[in-house]
Order: sequence, then structure tokens, then C-alpha cells
Amino acid sequence: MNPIPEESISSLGSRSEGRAWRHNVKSESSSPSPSSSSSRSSTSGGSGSGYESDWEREVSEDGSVFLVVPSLPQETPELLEEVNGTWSKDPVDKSVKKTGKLSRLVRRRESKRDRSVFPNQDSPKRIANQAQLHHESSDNDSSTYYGQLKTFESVFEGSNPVEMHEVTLRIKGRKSVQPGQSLMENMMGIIPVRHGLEPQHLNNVVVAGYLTDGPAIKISDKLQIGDIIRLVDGQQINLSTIEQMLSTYSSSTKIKMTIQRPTRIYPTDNSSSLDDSSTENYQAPANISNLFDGNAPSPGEVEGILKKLPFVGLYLTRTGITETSPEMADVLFQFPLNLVGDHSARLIKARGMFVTLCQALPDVTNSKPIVSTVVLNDHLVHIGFAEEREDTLLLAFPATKCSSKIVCQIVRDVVRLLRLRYQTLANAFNPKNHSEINQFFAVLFLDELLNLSALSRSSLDLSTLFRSHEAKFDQNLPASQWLYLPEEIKFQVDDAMNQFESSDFQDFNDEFYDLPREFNIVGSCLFHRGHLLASHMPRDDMVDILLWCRFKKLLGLTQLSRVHQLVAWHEVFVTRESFRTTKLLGPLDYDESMQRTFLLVVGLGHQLLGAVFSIGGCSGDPIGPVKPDPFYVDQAMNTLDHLEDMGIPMVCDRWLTLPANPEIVDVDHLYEKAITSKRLDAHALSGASTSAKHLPDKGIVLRKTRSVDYSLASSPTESDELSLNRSENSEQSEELQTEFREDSKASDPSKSEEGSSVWELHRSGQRSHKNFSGDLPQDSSLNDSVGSDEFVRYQVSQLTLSPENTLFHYIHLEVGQGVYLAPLSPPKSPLHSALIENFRATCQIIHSTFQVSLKSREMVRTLKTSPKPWLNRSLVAVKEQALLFHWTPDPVTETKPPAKNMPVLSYWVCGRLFLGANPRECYICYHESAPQDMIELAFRLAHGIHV
Amino acid sequence: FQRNNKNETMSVYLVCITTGGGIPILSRKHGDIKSLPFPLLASLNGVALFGESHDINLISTSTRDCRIVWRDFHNSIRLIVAVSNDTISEVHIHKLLDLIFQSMVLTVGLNDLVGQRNVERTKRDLRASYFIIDRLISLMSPSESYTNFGDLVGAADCVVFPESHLIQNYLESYVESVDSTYGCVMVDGRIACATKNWWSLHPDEINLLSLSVLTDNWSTLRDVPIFLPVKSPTVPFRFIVCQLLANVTVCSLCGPAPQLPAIEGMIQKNWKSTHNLLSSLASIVPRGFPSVPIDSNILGLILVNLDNKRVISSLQPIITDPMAKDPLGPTTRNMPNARKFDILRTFYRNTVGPIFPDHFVPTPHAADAKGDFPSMNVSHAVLKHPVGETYQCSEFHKCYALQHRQYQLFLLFTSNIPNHFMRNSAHRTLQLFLSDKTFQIIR
Repeated sequence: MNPIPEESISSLGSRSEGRAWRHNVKSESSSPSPSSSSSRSSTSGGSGSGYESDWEREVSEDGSVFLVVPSLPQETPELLEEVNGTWSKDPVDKSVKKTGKLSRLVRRRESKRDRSVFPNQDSPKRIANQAQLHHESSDNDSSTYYGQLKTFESVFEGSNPVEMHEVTLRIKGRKSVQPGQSLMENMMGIIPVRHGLEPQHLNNVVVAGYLTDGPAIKISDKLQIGDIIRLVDGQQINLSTIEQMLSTYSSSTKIKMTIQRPTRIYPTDNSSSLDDSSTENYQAPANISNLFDGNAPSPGEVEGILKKLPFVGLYLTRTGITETSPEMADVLFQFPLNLVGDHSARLIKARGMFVTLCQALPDVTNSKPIVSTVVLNDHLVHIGFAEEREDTLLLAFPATKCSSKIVCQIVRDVVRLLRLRYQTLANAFNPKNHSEINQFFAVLFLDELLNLSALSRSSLDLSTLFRSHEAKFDQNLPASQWLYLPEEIKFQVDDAMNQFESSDFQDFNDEFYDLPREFNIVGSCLFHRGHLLASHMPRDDMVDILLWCRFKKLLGLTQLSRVHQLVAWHEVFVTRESFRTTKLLGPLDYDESMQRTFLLVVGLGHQLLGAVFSIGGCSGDPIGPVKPDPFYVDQAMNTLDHLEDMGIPMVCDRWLTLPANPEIVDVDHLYEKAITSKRLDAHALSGASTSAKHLPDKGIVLRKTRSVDYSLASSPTESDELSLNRSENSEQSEELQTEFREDSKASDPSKSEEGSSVWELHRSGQRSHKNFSGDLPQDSSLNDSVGSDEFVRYQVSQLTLSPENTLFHYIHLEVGQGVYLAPLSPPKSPLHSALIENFRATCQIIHSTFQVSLKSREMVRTLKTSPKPWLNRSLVAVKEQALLFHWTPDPVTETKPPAKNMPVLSYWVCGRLFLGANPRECYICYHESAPQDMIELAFRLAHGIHV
Repeated sequence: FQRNNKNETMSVYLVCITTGGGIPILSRKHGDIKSLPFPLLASLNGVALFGESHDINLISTSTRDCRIVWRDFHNSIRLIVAVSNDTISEVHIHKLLDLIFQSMVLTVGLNDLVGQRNVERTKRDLRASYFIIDRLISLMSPSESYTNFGDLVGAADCVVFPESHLIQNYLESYVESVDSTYGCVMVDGRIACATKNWWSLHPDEINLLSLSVLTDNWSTLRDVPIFLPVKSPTVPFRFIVCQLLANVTVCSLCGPAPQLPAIEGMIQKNWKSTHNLLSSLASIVPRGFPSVPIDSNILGLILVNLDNKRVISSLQPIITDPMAKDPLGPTTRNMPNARKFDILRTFYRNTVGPIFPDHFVPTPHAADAKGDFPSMNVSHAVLKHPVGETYQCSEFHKCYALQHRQYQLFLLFTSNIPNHFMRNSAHRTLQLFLSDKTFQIIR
């Protein structure tokens, strides 16, 4: 993780109005190539929106943006290719190559335009696509971007334009309208949803209920609660216009309504650019797309079922509360808003006890309460506490779903996220934010209680409801799983991110010199399918972004399906600032806390780029809401585009599907072997690795991508001319030659056969641009120069040093970096999953032991300054804990086909704590037969990354 | 680091309040902490009371350093305890509360304690239980004077004495002569031999009787009325304790007859010729078992038989000649007993519960109104597969636990033993104990 290049920040000049620069960018960027500007719907406002990009219309009043456009189901890579091809054929592009410094910028912007879902006016292909796309954007209402619906609640509210129904309704004549009664209620008998849950839904006419004597209830089979009424008699309507519209009907008449039903929100994306063998890994039955397709349960079902569980989120205050205050005056916020079920109501009524605990316990124990456990109607419930001044945040979860440890973690993360967004909890729970907070908690509780990602209609019943959840460990850590790439590829990624972070955009236009930049880019981090690829920011900033994306479900989304476009922008209060101790600043010191910071997350395909921007200091110092600068957003998008051009996502996907490195043993394979050989020992282990056995001199060989050359050539020091040539060069020869070569010296014929079938792969040309063939002579020469040094060797190593591999699973947690390493795609087979589930529960217990140990160590350190009455000395220096399990899989439920006489599997789960400047925790799970002195070596290996 | 001064005791608060009137009837503390003022005590009780009025049973609350547990007994007595937050599981805190409640029953009987007809008198009578309760809560921290584990393990502390069958004969005839069937011979609070009926007592009862023998030892012959918390919570027995040697006592539970002078005569008659035998019994401690070729890396051990609820333990399994050259060097051997005791107890508390299932015998007092046991409420992650062995390494020591059939073995090792050697050593030690004929009492 490289530091942010400082010189780029310091190179900036005096401050003046930063806005001007941005406007310059806008106009200048399109002017040098007039032909292209006329063909771009965006700049000319061709779509009628007047906005430059899709996300700009989503900017809310406070400047924040949240837009997700998932890949369209039709948008296969081939289609994209065609579109790209079309653009490339455009003669304009050749002229672009000749234009000066701005050309690169323009090119980048063009590639971004390609992603616009708006049909482009001038392109014939686009018009052809328009037919396909038409139903997606059948009206101009912003909500047709189904991707915007991100919260769970709004999933139910729904607005997928694909599911349009026509309903006829005979409305009643207007009778005496009572004050406060709308015409909708009076004439149609429909109670609309009045408060929009999402800003962009504020104006939608959503059916919330029927009047019992109204006409609508008679057609309640056709017009359902939750439906959005889009058109009435062919006219578009919204909450404000429907009244006006209805007032034109004076007597009873038939009207035709077009309604939209939220059945499919996110189309499941089965057309990822991977070939079949690799996609299998991502098509686990339990996937997050259930949430967005028809399998998700309806709000009514969810609400009904949640009634049976005790849960609540409360924000209470003690300020200004006296004996005479009204009953609920101290409750500043509660979730659920309308009390569902007896449990939640009871917890809210008894909130006084938790407030008293918060006040009384510090006097008894010298520390504040963290978590309480109560029994409520035979449910064990954990209540987590967080305090801010006189206020208390309480979150209650049933113990079947979260252990008390997890509740503490949830509270910690929730507080961190709310402070990230609103600076303080008091701000967060300000009434003006209630709808946002409500959504936030809706997603949080649904996820924790029903496990959103595994949720489907078929499985939603009481047995799932009361079934206890699997233990979580790595999923809940404030750390990100790291996808470790080979040095060369990592270098390319870092280089692309550095280019973005350097903010060296002046090169694009002479007029930018002398102007101060609008934002400083503090750092950025890149995720692929939810795995961290690179982070150029402090740990706390990265974890802020990680948690934000995790709670917004963006990581889960990009893990399983592609996004077409994702832009999110928020003013944030980074956690790092709150950790800082206020120190005296000299007159020349620069106080960073004066800065305002912003979070930008953009997504493309499976990639997410998160960045933290700051304003203040050498950049401008604006007051009021700050909207995202399209130029910076474009730059971020272009960075992702650029990475895609280089084939980085493909490399990552390939990396995710390669055999696990270090090698791990698949328990199911182990059992298959063991059952045939009637015993389970080291012998059986030899054949049970996830892949065929590899001798040390074998390996998988990846041919280097051409983009290596590109990235080397296009470093900022190169002249523009050269970098342009090279980038064009790379663009058309960008095929990723992931050619895997099996070493022919396979020891066992059967194994090599198996192995080669897995890795035989040749993916060249899929994204190549045909039209450029022969255009650039160096293309072929580069192809010829592919030599032995252009191969990246992927060597599968064995972590345990015993003769046979004995490793089942591992987690290596770098606490200091906020990242962890674990097998990228562990086997999904039933026995292995059962093993991992138990592994996680064990890790939670060992981790708790380490936490107590660290706490005791801290207490001993400060023993001199204050007495520590609660210290247990014997736990001070605990650094390793291990458990040996003897597991006999249940032959009926845990295997298929059912097998008799399952042998006992004995395995260790061992956790070790490494202290020092860079604290680490390492957990490994290995077969009992591994000699333990070998395990010592495995731990030592885990210090370095051994790819 | 291994100093053991007063600041290092782990503190404990214990409060006992009647649930009906909120009257505090007992309040103890251990360690260097200030007493709880009444308003604080009242608010601790108040939160539980308030929750109850909304049908919410408050069980526990954790802070960073500390854990507070509320527990009602017989819907009449509420115990509130604050202990260090050093374990993952709450099961041992509940075990402690069970023992505290039973020691109150032991002194005043269930009717007086629960009925609360005269609270002031009960309060006064309960003072007699202070010495057992104080000892129980002091066991959370290192202790120099006490080396038994029965209260923690929920089993009867025993010593392995090769000639116990000889003592058994003397014991049987003595018990018969005082018109009883309950009797045992203890050395340092651990049973060397006992009558069949004594073994039939609940392990908690045996432990409380051992504790009372150990802590209240200023006389050679005692006759105190006690209620057996499980067997006879409302009708008192006479608990006759006679000190035969400095650390060897004979105990029996008697009815109203015979009178104490008569019993004294019986003791004289039965035990006068046993001096040599008892002296060799007395010398079995502190090791607690005859010399066996045990691994020299082992600093302490606990062996539990889960079937017959007996435990043997030792903090000095190897008694080395102080003049002989210790191959391990002087520093590792010098770990004080109090520290070994503390480490082994902490290891046990962190192992049984979250890792090994607990096998405590429930008492009728432990069940709540619905017949559920509070210790069944598990708040940590639950392991799905059975655990056979586990270890924990610290920079200063290593601990190993092994569960094999009905046996649980907990070992404390020096820190310089290699990890992979511990497993071997543990298996060999267990084999050694189980194959030796003299270890009959634990088998």
C-alpha cells in the first residue's frame, strides 16, 4: 500500500475560486473535437435531460449522490463489444488521435459515455439498442433506474418498469371532500404512501392501502399494495399531479391505470464475462440477487414474520427529560417505527432499565456497559449499548441470530458508520434524517435477522426464522479480504490509481495551470468482487469505505453481478479525525481538521473504486453543500475503465478461480477418498487437495498481458504523444492471454488429466477491436516479442510442510492494515462448508480470548497510574489457543448420497496472536496428522505472502 | 511479574437482596474496592425489578472490564454479583452463585431464607455463612491457603492414598458407633475415603462441607447444625468435625443423638491406634497422590472423573529435592502455588463452557420458575463439532486440556515445552493415572 504522493498536493498554487476550473473543464473538454461533441448526447443534452451524465440528475440537495445501474440482462459482453466496435469505426476517433493534449481526456470521457443507458441519438447501433432499452426507460421518471433502489424497504416499494400492468378502475364521482382527504382517497379509494422512503420516490404514487368503501378495494387482486401507479389514461402522474388530474373527472367514470409492480429489481446477471467453468463458483444458490429478484419475500411477509422476533433500535436522550415529560419524550428515534409485535414494544417500554444501567454501572465497575443479556418471553436477547454525551443508542438482537460478541461489533460498526455520515450520533438521529436512518436500520436488522443474502421466498418460514444463524467471523471484521495479485499486475493497478490520485489533470488543458484544484484526493482503494485489490489510504479511511460499502450492500452486489454504473458521493466525517488528539498547532502548521471530506464510490463491472476527497486548505474552501464534480467523477470512472481496458478484472476473476494458493484440502474429496480406502489418514489426504497434486517444479503459467507494457509506457513522465500511442496500442491488443500451461511431467496420469481439464483456457480476442488491425505496425511486432519472460508463474505452494497437504482453511488477519487473507474461493461442498462454519465459531472464541488477553495487557501497562481491581493476571500474555475436533459427519444430513460409516475427521483449529508494531492474528485449520512442529513453520510462512 | 501483592487480587462484589421488599440481607466484597453505597445497590436491584414488571428478566451486563450477573432464587432472594469480565462463558459465574446460595441455605435453612418471616433475624443468622461465602468469592483470585478445585469443577476433591482401604475400616466402625451412615476422612479438605452415603451427597454439598471444614478450623472438635442444601434443606443435621492431625479431619453427619461427649469417646476409641497411618496420609499432600514418574514439565494438574464426580489435583506434582540441580533451572519451578492455582482455574473457566461442555449436576435451587437453568443461556458462539483437546499458550506458561471418555485432564506446563510435545505428555499422563491401581478413587 503506497502512500499518497505528497508532491502532487504541494505543487498547487494559490487559492482562488475553484469552481471556475470545473466549468472550464466542461466546456473545454468537448470543444476540441466538435464532431464528437455533437454526437454525444450528454454534452448536447440529447437525451433531453440537460445533464451531462446519468448520475448528475441524482444529486440531492445536500450534494450527495447514490446511483446504481446494474448491468442489463441483455448487455452481454458481445453487445458491449459491438458498441465499442461501432465507436471505433467512427472516423472521428482517428482525428482524436491527432489532437493535442486533451485527446486523452476526451477519449476517456467517450469511453465513459458508452456506458450511458440513454439511447444515443446519432449512433445507429445505439438506436438499435434503443429498442431493447426502451422499456427500461419508458418514462423520464428517475426511478426507472431500478438500480437506485438500494435499501431493502424500497425493494418492496419497487419500481421495475419491466413489470407493467394495465388495470381499469371505475372511479366514483367526486363527493364532498373532507378536509385532509385527498381526491385519490375520495374517488379511487386508494390511500397513497405519503412519505417517500427514498428521495427519488418522493413523488411516486405508491398504493399504501384501500378505503373499505372505495372502488379500488374491489380490484385489490389486480392493484396491490406496493404498486406504483405510473400512468392514468396514458398520462404520466405523480403525487402532485394526480389530484389535479382526478379533479378533471367530475362524475363516475372508468379510468385505465398503468401500474408497476416490484417483482424484479435487479436482474440477476448470469452473463458475466467469465467462461462457464469459472462462473460456477459464483452461482451459489444463496446469493444476494435473491434480494433483488422475484424470490424475495414481500414486505407483508417480512413484517409478519419479524413480529415473532425480539429486536429493536432505540436512540434515547436524558437531556431535558424530567418526571413530568410526556411518555415517549426521551425516545428520539425508534426502529421499527410502527411497533411490530409484542417483543419490541416491551423492550421499548422497559428502556428505562438500560438507561439506568448506563448511569449506575460506571460507579460500580469504572467502565460503561457494552452489552446486556435479558430473557424476554423465552427469547434470549442481547442489547448493545453506545453512549454519546447524554444520549444512548440501544440495539437489541435475539441471541439465536447474533452472539453477544457480534452484537458488540454491530454496535461498534453502526456507530462508526453513523458518525462517518453525520459526524455525531445526535446529528444522525436528528428528525430530518429519520427516513434515511430508518432505511439504514431496515437493512441492518433484516440482514442480521433473516440473513438477506440467503433469503428467498421458498425458505421463509418459521423454521428459518428461529433457526440460529451460523457464527460469523471474517464477515464481520473491520477488515477486508485481500486479493493478492502478482507484483506486475499489482503495479499496474497501483499505477492507475496513482494517476488518479495525483490529480495531475492540468495536462489536459493549458487553462488549468494556475488554477487551484477543487478537491484534494486523500487516497483511494479498489475492490474487485468485494475483495480489496489495493488501498492507498490510511487503514481507518479504508475501513470506513469498506464498512460503508458493506452496509450499502455494494460489496455483495459487485461480488455476484456486474454493475453498469455506480456513483455515490457523500460528505463524510472520517473516523481517523475523531481518533486524533487535539494538539497545539503552531502558526505554520496546517490543521487538517478544518477540511471537509467527501466519499466518492464509483463502480463498474465487478470493480468498486472508493476515494476520499478533501476540500479546504490549498484547495477551495466552499460553504454549503458540495456537489460532486463531474470531472473528478469521470476521472474515477475512467480509472476503472482504464483498469478494465488493461484486463485487470479478468486477471482478478481468473485469480479467483485458480486453485487456492496455498493449497487447501477439500473435505468432501477427502471423504470420497476415505470411504473408498476405508480409512481416513494421511494417505487419504494425498488425493484430496482442491486440485491435483503439484510437484514443486510444476506450476501454472500465465502469459503477461500486453497492458504491462502499456502501464510501463504510460507513466506520467512519458511524453503525451508516446503515452497516447501506447495507450491506443494497448487498447486494441488488449486481449488477455491467460494461457495456462500444465507441466507435462505429471507424476500421476490421472491427476494430470484432471488438472488440465480445469485449467485449459485460452481467452484471446474476446475484447479485441477488429477495426484496428494493421493500423499500427508495432502491434504485430509486440505479438512476436512474446517470449519466455512474459509469463507470470502461478505457483501453488503448500503451507504445511508435511509430506501431504493437511490444510483445510486459514485466515490471516493483519489488524494494522485492516486486511485479511483467506482462501479466495473455498470449496462450496456441504462437508467443507460445515467445517468452515465450525471454524468461524472457533475463531470467534479464540478471538475473544485474545481480546481479553490484550485488554489485560493494557491494564497491566497502566497499573501504575490507577488500580485495576478487575485484572486477571494469568491471561495477560496469552498468544496461542488451539482446539482439536473429532467430527463424525452426520451421514444422513451432511452428505449426499447418504453414506454409511463415516470415519471420524480429526482436525485442529489453531489461532495465534502476533504482537508488535504490526499486530496480526492467524487462524489455521488443519488435519490432525500434521506434525505440530510443521505447523510452526506454517505460521512463520503466514508472515510473508507466498504467491 | 510473578509478584503477588494485594492490588492483584481480582475484585468481586456480592449483594443479596430480597426480591419482595428490596431489603439487602447480605453484602460482601473482595479485593481493594470501596463498598457499594446503598443508592447504587438499590439501583442495581431496581433495574432488575423494573424489567421484571415488563416481563423482562435481566441476566447479565458486561462492561469492558467487568461482568454483572443478576440471579433470582426461589422467587424470593436475588443475588447480584460483579466479577472480572475474563471469561467467554457465564456458566462459572452461575456456578458461583449456586454455591453462594447453597451456602446460605446450609447455614440458615431454606425455609428461613426463602420465607423471610423475620428478615432481621435471618440477616443475623447469615453472618455464620460469611466465612464460606468470603472464601468462595476469594477463589476468583490467586490464593495461598487454598488449593482445591472442587467448587469450580463441581466434583468432590480427593487424594489418592494407597492405604485408604485401611482407613476406610476405621471410618466405617466410627460412623456406625455415632449412629450415622455419613462420614469421611479428609486431608486438607480433600477426601481420602468416605462412606457410601457420603458419596451419594450432591457434589456441591460435599464441596461446601469441605469448605466449612477448611475455613472454620480453630477447634479440634466441632458440632454445628447444618442444612444439606439438596438432601435436607429444611431439617438440620449435626455436622461433627474432629481434627485428628493438623490437616486430617474426620467428619460425620449425625442426628440428635449421641451427645457430643459420647462422640468424643467414640473418636478416642476408634482412632487412637491410627497415628502412623494418618501421618502417612497427611504426607500425601501437597502432591495429592503417590509418587509417579510424571513429566517434569508439568507444573500443575487437574484430573476430573465426570461419571463419579471426583477430582484430583496437584500444584506440586513433582516434589524435587531443593538441593538437587533442577534441569529446568530455578526460574520456571519458582512459580508460586497461588499463581499456578490462578492460572489453572482461569484456564478451566475459559475451557469448560465455551469449548468443553460442562457436566455440572444441577441443583433444585438453580432452576427458575419455568424449570430452566440460567446457565443454559449461551451468549457466545457455539461450536458445532465435539472437541477432544485444546491448549492455550502464554509467554509465561502453557496449558493443555484433554477430554477422553469420562475423564478431563487439565495440565499446566512450563513455557519452554514445545507445543507438539504437550499433546504427547498429556496422553501419557492420563495413561499413567488410569493404569495405576492405587488411583482407584478416581477411576
